[in-house]
Amino acid sequence: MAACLPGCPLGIDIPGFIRFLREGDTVLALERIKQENPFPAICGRICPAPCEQACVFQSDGNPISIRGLERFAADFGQSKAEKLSLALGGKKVAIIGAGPAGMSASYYLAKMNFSVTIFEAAHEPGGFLRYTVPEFRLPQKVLDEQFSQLKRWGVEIQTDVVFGRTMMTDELFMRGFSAILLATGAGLPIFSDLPGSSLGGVFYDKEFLYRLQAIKKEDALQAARRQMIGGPNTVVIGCGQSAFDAARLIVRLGGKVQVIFEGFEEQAGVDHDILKESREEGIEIHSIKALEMVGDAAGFVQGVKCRKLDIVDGKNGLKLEPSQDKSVILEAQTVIIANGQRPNDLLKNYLPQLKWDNDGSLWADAQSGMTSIDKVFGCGSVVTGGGSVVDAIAGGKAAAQKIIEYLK
Amino acid sequence: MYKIIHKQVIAQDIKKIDITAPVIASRALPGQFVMVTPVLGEHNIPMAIVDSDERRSVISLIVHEVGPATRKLGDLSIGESLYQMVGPLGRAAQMDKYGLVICVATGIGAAQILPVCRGLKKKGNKVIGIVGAKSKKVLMLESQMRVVCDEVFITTNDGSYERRGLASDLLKELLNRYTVHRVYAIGSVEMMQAAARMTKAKNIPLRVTLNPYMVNGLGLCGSCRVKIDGKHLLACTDGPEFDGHMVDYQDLSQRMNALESRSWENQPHPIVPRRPGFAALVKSLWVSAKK
Repeated sequence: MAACLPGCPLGIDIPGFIRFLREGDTVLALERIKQENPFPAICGRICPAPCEQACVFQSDGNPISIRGLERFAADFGQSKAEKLSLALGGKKVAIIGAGPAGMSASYYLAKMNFSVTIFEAAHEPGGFLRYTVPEFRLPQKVLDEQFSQLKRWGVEIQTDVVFGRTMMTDELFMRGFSAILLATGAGLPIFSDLPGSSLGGVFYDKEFLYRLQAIKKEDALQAARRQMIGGPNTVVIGCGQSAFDAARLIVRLGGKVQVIFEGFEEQAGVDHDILKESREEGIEIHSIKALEMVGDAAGFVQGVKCRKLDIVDGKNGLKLEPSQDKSVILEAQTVIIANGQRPNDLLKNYLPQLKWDNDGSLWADAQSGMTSIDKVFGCGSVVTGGGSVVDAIAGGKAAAQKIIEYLK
Repeated sequence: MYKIIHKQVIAQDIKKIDITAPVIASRALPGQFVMVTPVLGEHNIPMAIVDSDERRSVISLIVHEVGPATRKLGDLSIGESLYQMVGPLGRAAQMDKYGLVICVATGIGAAQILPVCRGLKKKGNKVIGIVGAKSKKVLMLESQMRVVCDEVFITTNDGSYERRGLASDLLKELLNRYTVHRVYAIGSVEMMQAAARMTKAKNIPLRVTLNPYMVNGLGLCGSCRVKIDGKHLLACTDGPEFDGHMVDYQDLSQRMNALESRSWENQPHPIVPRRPGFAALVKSLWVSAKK
């Protein structure tokens, strides 16, 4: 077995599709990918590529670019529109949330001739793919294509429906839905305890990305840019995918960015390519501990007080410790905090009988995928508490199979 | 879909709009709000549901035209439709039979206090309303308040109508005069802070409705975070009504100030644009040579 196979959460036949590509047959390669992954155009762009970490050439620092090959197959292997599924009329399934998990679950359910309806609270479907992944990483056009493909398969998508406010569980069961799948995701940033996080010019990563992504017009973008980016220097505190997304977005809007976090560069939570590209774009990455935000008299942030970290030889290899030097102040007119994410309390308030794990994620039975309410299932980030797009797609796929098993 | 069926100017820059929305009208409770997108590409605006009529499937909103998005909403004429509307969002106001209740509102808060007064009256409370406005020109919903409440006091800051003074001074006077069981306050941060100080001294429960900057109202971004009892909560999903004695008003005013009072729009942007490159130089030389 190839080394990269266990790396992929979806279990794509990686050597298989690469073999087709080598023979020059992109159509067959795409078909081979689509057996396991319904959205290669999305994964080919923003997947963190755990398969490349598992690749045998990883030790040379030069793994096979599986993600790039997948993107190539997805963009150039489209032969014809997939055939319509005409035999809809099976049991009805409601999916709450049109993010990656809901999308993949709807695909697999529609494939098995269930009639699927997705309820989405925002104006446009896509979840975090639409609202927090910047255009330069995933063009909205690609996302729209995926949804028109889903609609061709017979999936109905209703936007502006808030589960628990405009749409209730009883109403869904009354309308004949046999099961409900909660794929509401984990969109809310975990708030930080750093002093000064209420100052003007301090944003959380999701907040910053959401506010810029929701803008559709050029003049509104300029206005938001002037309101949100108060000066040439920006500091991003924390790491992870959305921290780097926000940093790279600011570079594109014309600012200078420093990303600071506690830990080595390998712990940044993003893959090698993104670190490399960020550095090429002029983003400075430092291992510094942020202590507090310094504000001016008007209540706007002026800088971040930090303490440098020393590399210390600990028991289990090298580790970082705060040094004894005096703290330094990094000048910043905008500060972005990336502190992780969690599911919001909308579901918790609406359905108090739902069981939650200690870390704030939804409890779902590992065997059946069902939550503590009968006929209500859970999948994606709301269950796992956050993860990459490929994990969410894999979660949706697994939940779809469990629902099919249950409704048989 | 969300068609405007009636529009009325009720004060300076303030309009009342009736919109058909069957689902929202059947579900809306006092204290809840909707997120309105007037036209494609505009911001979402959080707006309190002032009135909801289930039989006619109509909800009423009150628009204070202050920014580009609210102005666009006010400019829509009867018969036109909103681009999008989501709701009802937020939790309903806490309501029960308490006895004597005072409802204080200043400015645009009067639109939010009206459904609360109506709900409290329906539960069988005696309701005293206090409405504060800058001047008579911007005072609104006076007659509706007089219908709903048992007694209404009005103050204007410049003395152009009824009493001259602040709403919080009047509240202090009434708290001394009557045995009050509960106070609801909606409006400026200073007024709510003053109300919290006064009611805490007399040990009267206080409910306040906060209006921080809100982006989408679905609990996704955290822009509307407020500090309640040392914890960060979201006004969109946990509120907008909170216990008035628990709110960190200093933090709230700092955040409201940061997002509203100062904008960099009027100043030259501090980021220096990139110098034109070689191509621009060649082009300018080409143009001058042509001349």
